Amino acid sequence: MKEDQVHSLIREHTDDIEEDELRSFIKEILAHERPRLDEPGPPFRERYKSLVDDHVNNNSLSDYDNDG
Amino acid sequence: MDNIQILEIELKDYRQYKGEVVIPLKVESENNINVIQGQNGAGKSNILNAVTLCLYDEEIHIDTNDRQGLDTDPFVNLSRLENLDVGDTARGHVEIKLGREKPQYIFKREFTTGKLGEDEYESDTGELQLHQKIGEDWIPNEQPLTRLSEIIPTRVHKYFFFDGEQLNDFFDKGYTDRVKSAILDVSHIELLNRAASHLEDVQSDFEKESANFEGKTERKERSYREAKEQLEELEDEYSQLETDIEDAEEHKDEIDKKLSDSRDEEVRNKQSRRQYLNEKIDDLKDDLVDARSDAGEALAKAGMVVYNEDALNFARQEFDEMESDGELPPKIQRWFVDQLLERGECICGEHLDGSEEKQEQLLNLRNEVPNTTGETIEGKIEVPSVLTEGEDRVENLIQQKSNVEKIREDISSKETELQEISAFLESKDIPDDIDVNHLETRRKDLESRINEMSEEKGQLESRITRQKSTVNERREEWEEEMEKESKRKVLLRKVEFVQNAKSKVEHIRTNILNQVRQQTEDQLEEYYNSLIWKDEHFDIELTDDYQIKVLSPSGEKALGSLSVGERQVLALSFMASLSQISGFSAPILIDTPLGRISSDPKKRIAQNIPQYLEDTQVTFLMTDEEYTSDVKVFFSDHVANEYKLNYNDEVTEVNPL
Repeated sequence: MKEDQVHSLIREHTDDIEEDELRSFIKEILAHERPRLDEPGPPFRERYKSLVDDHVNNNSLSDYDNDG
Repeated sequence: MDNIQILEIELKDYRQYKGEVVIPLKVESENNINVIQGQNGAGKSNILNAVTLCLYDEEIHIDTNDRQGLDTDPFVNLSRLENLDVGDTARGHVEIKLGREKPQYIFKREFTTGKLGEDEYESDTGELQLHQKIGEDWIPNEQPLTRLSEIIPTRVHKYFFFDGEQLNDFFDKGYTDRVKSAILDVSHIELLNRAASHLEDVQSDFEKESANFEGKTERKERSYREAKEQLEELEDEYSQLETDIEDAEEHKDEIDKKLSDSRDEEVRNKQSRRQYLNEKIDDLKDDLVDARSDAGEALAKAGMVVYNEDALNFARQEFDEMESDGELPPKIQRWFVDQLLERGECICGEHLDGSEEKQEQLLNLRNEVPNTTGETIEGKIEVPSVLTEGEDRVENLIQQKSNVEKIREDISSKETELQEISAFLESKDIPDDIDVNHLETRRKDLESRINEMSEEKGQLESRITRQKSTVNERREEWEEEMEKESKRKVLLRKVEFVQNAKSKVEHIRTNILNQVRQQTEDQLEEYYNSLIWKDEHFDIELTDDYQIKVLSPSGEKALGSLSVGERQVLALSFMASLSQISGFSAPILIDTPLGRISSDPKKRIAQNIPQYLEDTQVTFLMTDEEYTSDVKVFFSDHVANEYKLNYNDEVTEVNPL
């Protein structure tokens, strides 16, 4: 295993997430965090919000309205 | 051997290893064990230290028996340092070759020891260096720490390179925290903790942002609808008024027609005259509008002069005074003299030819000429003309106002005549004819009603205009709110998405913790039972609060009641479990693995050790008391390399056994 890789146990669990957007989003944030794990207080907001935008925009708002 | 192993350690003047000492350690799958035997103080622990110093810039073994402690000793071999002068420095290095069958990586760290005074030294280490085998060449790698972290990262190396003696303390008071911390270390739980914490922060950001867009949409929509309804009511009212006026006009026309058809000539004449007057009044009203407009325009033109008349008269007086003083019009312009001076010409057209006298005369003339601007001259001409023109404009205004008054009077006189006609017709009672007086009274009422309704219609028009503006404003406000609401919906969707992600991460965290705890428990039980010298099977339980329970067929054994040997076996098993669960397939190096174990159990452990961590290179640094002849027998089929450390006169030699 490489240091910048996520532990196989975590990978297995994230792969099991059924919702595509959620699974992809969680994989991306873990990949973002992994190399920064030893840094105290690494920046994250900009990257997280950009990823949220990417993933939320992939679902139409009308779906949300219908759900709501 | 599929896993990475230490193929060779090279020590150069490191502590008691003088000169260059190479220790080959390559193993095979079936012979995966190395033994380096040495008495206490021979330099056994410093082989463990050399490995961790090279790779992680730290010495893991602390000799608690040493009064000063190892960390105070110089790195460079003491016999090398004896010949140094104060201020001089000696250097050495540790080099480790790693690979599977053949070397793939050579990690190296240099160190120095400087002599500060008699028996006073200061040691320092250099940066980690790495050469990597690519094809047939050894290429320097610029990022040795990154490569090392792919093999055995700093965070977990203590589960691969450790001191067995110090493991005895692992299960002392407060061990549950150490067990928990170790499990979190190897399972990346901190990664999930951090992701969950950051998701919570981002969720909170979105929630705060969405509060700014919290909706007044419904209220604004209601307000817009109300305004629109009011407008529709006003428009209905207006439309009704128009219909009523039309009906009244129609009715009035019918009466007019009846009066026009009267058999009485006087009535017909009066009716005819009234129609004429009405038409004239309509025309005059149009003329009045035009005349008022003309008067307004004339007032605007004349007002400018009238309101500034005093100032204009004052200016004219000033210009007159300037003229009488001879300043206006000027005989000569100052700018003209300036140009002459610049060109070097006299006023008569000749060149000054450097004549100071002529030049001075011109300068004097320049100073005498009043500084009269173009505007002053223009003002002198324009002001009287403006005043004269103003008088014309005032006269025009008076004329226009007079026209307005004249038209008004004309209308008024015609309206008076109309009233007289109406009064006449109201008083007219003609037998055998139409009911003139009644018709006229009715007509008068209708006309009065039409006037009232027309006035009402005018007021209604103003209200409708204002109401339309209100409707537009409220619709815009509603649209703004809808836009905000739309943004809020997107933000709420983001909040929900992040919240779901956080729940998933927390769920994964809980599952993994349970899974890792379970795996650790299973591995721990397997290793413990394979190493322990007893025949019965022990169940190992790792509880939710990270307590380890050893359960024998006769019941639970508290950790405190375990023998020193049993505790050491438990600790070895725990470390082996963690190294397996960490996911890194790296070599294991243990100093004094059986140090606290008495002779009989030691034989049993030795018997079982070859099964310990199969397919992993395991290097034991053992004392003579540990590596007894009995132990050697059990190890014999599985040992790849055996060395003995011979310590003499502060120098250790490494010899094959």
